[in-house]
Amino acid sequence: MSQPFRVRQRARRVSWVLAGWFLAATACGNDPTIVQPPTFERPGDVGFVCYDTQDRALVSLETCRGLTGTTEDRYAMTALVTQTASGEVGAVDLRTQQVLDADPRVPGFTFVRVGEFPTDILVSPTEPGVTYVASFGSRRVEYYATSRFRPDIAAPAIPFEREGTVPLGFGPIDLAMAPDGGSIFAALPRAGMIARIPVEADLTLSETFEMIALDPALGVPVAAPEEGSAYQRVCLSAGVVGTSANTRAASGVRDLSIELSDTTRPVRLLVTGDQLLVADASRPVLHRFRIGDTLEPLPPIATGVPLSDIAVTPEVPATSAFDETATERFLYAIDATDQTVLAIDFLEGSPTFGAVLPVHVGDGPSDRIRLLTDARTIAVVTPDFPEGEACEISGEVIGAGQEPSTLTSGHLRGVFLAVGLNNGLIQMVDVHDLNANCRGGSGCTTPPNDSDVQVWIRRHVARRATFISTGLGVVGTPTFSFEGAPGRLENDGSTDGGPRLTSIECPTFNAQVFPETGDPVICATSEVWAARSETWTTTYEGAIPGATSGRARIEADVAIVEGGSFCRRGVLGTANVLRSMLDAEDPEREYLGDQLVVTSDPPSSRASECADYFYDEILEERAREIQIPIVDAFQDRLVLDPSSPGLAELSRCYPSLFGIEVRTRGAFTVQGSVSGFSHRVVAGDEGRCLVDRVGQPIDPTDSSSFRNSRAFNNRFYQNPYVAFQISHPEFSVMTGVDAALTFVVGGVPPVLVADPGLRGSGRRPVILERLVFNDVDDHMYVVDSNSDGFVQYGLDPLTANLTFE
Amino acid sequence: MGPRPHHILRRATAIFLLFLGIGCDQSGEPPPPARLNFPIAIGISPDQQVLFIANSNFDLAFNSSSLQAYSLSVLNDSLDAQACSEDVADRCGVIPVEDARDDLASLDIEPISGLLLSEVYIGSYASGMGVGTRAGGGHRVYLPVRSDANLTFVDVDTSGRLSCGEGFAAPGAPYACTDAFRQGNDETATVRSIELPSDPVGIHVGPLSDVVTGGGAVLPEANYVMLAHRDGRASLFFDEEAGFDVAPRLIHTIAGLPRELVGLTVDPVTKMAWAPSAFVPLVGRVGVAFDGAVDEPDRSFLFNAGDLVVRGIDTGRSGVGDTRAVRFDPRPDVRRAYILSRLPRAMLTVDIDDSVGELSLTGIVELGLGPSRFEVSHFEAEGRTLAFVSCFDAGDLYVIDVDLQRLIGIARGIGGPFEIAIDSVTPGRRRIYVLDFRQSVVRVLDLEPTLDCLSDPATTVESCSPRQIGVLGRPVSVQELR
Repeated sequence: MSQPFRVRQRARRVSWVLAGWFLAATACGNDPTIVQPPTFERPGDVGFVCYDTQDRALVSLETCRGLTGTTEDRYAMTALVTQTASGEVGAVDLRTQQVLDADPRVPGFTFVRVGEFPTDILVSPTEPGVTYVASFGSRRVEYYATSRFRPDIAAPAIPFEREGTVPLGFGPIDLAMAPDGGSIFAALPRAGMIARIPVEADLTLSETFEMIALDPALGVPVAAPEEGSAYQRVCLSAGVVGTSANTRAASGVRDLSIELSDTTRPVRLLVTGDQLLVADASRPVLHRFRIGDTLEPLPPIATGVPLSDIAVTPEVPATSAFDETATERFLYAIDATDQTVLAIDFLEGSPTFGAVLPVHVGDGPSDRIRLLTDARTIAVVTPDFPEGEACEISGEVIGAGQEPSTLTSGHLRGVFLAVGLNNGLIQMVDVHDLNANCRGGSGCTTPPNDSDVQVWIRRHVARRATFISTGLGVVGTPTFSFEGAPGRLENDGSTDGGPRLTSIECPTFNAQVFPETGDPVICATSEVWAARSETWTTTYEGAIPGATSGRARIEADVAIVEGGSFCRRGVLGTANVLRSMLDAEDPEREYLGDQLVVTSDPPSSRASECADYFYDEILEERAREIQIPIVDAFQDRLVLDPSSPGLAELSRCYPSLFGIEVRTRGAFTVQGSVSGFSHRVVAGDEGRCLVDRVGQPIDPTDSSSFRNSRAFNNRFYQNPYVAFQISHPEFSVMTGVDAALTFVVGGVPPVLVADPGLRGSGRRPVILERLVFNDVDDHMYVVDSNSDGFVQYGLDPLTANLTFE
Repeated sequence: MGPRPHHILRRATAIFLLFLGIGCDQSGEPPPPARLNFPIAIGISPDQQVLFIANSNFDLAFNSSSLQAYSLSVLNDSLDAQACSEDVADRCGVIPVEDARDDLASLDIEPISGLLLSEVYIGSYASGMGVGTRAGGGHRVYLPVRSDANLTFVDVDTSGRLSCGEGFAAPGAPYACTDAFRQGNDETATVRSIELPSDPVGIHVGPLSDVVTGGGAVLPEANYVMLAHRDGRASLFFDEEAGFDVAPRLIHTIAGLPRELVGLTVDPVTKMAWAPSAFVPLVGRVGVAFDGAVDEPDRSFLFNAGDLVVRGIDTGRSGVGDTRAVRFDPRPDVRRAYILSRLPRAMLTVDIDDSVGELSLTGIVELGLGPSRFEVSHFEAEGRTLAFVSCFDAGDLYVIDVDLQRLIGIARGIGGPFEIAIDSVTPGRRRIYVLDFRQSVVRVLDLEPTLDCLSDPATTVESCSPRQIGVLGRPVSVQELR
């Protein structure tokens, strides 16, 4: 090669390196380019078949039960994974742990080309010779000989020329098969219908199919039981208290503020027994059909919200005492409006069949499972259920040869809900834990493992990841700063000359967290599943987060902020408190209302006469601030106290637009680093801010109902997480004081999660597309469309076994 | 022995940084007339007659870059006449007759007269484009230019001819915009004695009446121009419509927005600009305070309306984020924002009114490698609202139904797709123009078959993905990059 040519080559390379830099700089790209030959490309769904390596034939899926998962096995579980971006289906041999090349003549991995954007794949567990694919972009269901995906199969179930498609006119996004294998159902969201396609005797699909409309009627809501499931296993250590059961009733079917479409939008199908369930992402109902010669509509379940995903449990014992004469069954669903997860009574014959159940613990809506963040996909996993024996505390060997003393939270036997979250993690929720009775020891004494002292297992509640041997506590020493003095809090709640905390009686289900011994000064919820590790900051007359604007204007005594949302932020004026008709137990009762504070400089034309209101860069403050009490707060305006001297100053010095923030007045603003500024303020008639006394009532016996963030001098303060009482002889008459109480609550045991983003020594961002439980091999499979991953998880214990990408 | 690669790299880097830092006023050759050269920004005139393309001069092969105006009707008529078949649509198309060259032999590229309306030279590394209307007729194109940190503006008459200091430029006779048309770097010209910060990377142009709070004063007919700067700043210009050649005035600039901004987009309801960051999981928000009760525009200011935290998605590790663009649903009754994310690579759907302190996510749709820019458009006849996303690294254009939250089409093989313009107002013409940065052409895609396909259940076509119908310009392959 000639030298000039080499130089030119280098120059080209340099040019492209620079191109990369430039694009990074101009926002075109800073992702590392993946250079390895691609295998998976935006995987979407997975189906399974069992392959007989000896006879080179497909066999029923059940044949693969009990395999060791090694190459010693005669049978190989094979996964068929749709590649939505490339329009292909790839196969993975889980026995040899290899992605299969469908055409060895072509270098690299060659997958089988199917229609555009394959969204779902289906294979009959008993007749696996034909595979059905929903191709959303091509708007049809396709069927292929399964041998196309495993070329080593000796004889295809149907010749290739018998493969075909059923054009539907609308894109299908989910498939389900009738229990007898005689029909396939396809969800067509754009049409608002489902298609029923008969399966012929040779497993091909009939060209004649039936379109079935979904009834948009809302159905009849069923009142929820007053209490949640009694199933739990709770062992507490000294000084820790916990509820015996979830006592908060479900709020029932929600009064939706969302706009509902008139049309139905089926997005997920599920066959259970002889029923077809259809999740509707548009109407707040779960459609039900009985599968027979025709689809017989059954009364829908009024869910109160549209649904984006559903999963059903088998029947499980009603209590952890394993009294199998009483059972329960649940349908879990993702709320399509806010990606929360709800549980529905799904036991046929139950008096509350179809009711949305009370499942929450601690702060938040009572009918939503408390999770780390929004849910994206769910699956019920049933490792070792129903065939597995419940753990006995006698010490005998259990499960897969484990001693009870080796059990941890990560060993999953029984029934659990796996929730794939938007943040890429998979959270596990307890439904029925076959190991529960071995946790914490018989009668919660002498646990098999010395560290397993506290046990917190409850149906519908997120599972903890670790043993819990100690309770919550305050991390470090709380401080109560006052006018520049740091104010270290002593054990009796006092500071050096500043304000103090006084000793209190901890509310129900709260425990003392500061000091460690002696009279309690700070309490925190002691229920592990209701608690949060976070920093609490309590600032005298502090700003209300988000209640700000850079372009307020004044008209008479009204500050107008177009597009404002003061009620949503929790702002209250004097009249708002009075109009809310608060009861004695409401913490906002007698509050005088918040205040508006001007935060911008006056215009330069007012520089001389309004100099005190300019921000001093050296002092880092203004010499004077304009503060005006709020009489009446609305969503987009604040009626100010006309008698306030600040109002005249505002008119004098700010002829044009100005910046504002809203602060509490004569009160401390309480804010959690995770919980934020919680409140019960809503917008009422004419956008007026009101405390939602009716919709979110205070229950004096339940601290989780105290959603409020204003603490007052010499008054007991509690919110769903912490409780304390501030005391200072003069706070009630002071203003503009610099005082802040800060403490950190820690020691909350983490929840059990699986992280499919962990790859080798690093981590990749994940978008969880689908969770699938394979009850033949007892594994959970995770489809990650962002990092093009397909991960197999063992569940006893919860471990990533295999990752394909 | 020839120069070692890392030496070349160092030298090239130094040159690159030098130009980025101090400008690109080298005394070399200007770009050949009518030549597309790493096109970086695209816009359509409000009357849908003119397609504006800003070239970046990315490889610094020339002493400046250019802004070009093309006739949309000529472009589309000639492509229709050309009738390129889809399998060769990346090598088939049209080129301005003024781009005289002898390397078209192996391609089916037809020189067309009347295609290029006008052209002027601008600074290198333009990073966006805004097009405003002028009350007296015609338009004004605004371009944030990174090489010497200015807002370049170019007047456009009703015939699509460009002017920036030396009269309306004829096609094939471009000239360099004069200093008077590059604003922001003269602090003495501003009321607050301020200078435009470096690295302007995003732009929004709108009528001043959009951001006026209150009323009473008689306001001038004017546009406002908001710029985002890469280091977390934003700037505000007012551009009174006193006539052609009158420059916009820099009014205010603020700091404190998230780092590594990549653009900004204004919420049509609140008029608040959302500015995504390619570095931290934050979307900055900035508003304009203009008091309509007083006739003193110079008192107006930008204010920081608070960041929205991008929370609840998997960015790989905490504290890291990478969002590239924001668009708002074009339907007046739908309060949704769409955000292009690279970590993870997805289009995020956000409930605007429910986003208090953090984004309230309602949907995530996965994308191809290197999502870079996107546009969202509503097609009334079909009842569809579609997002078109350029995936630079994958070379694909993704089409998403935002209501279904589903991918419904992919146009593949676009080289380096970057900015997109949607042309759907003119009856009988629904097309997409995609800048192919890598091959220095504009790809033209026909949306009509896609929309027909989506709305006709009886059709049995394999795919509803948009179809390429040809290119504007002469594709430059990798081997030909100098």
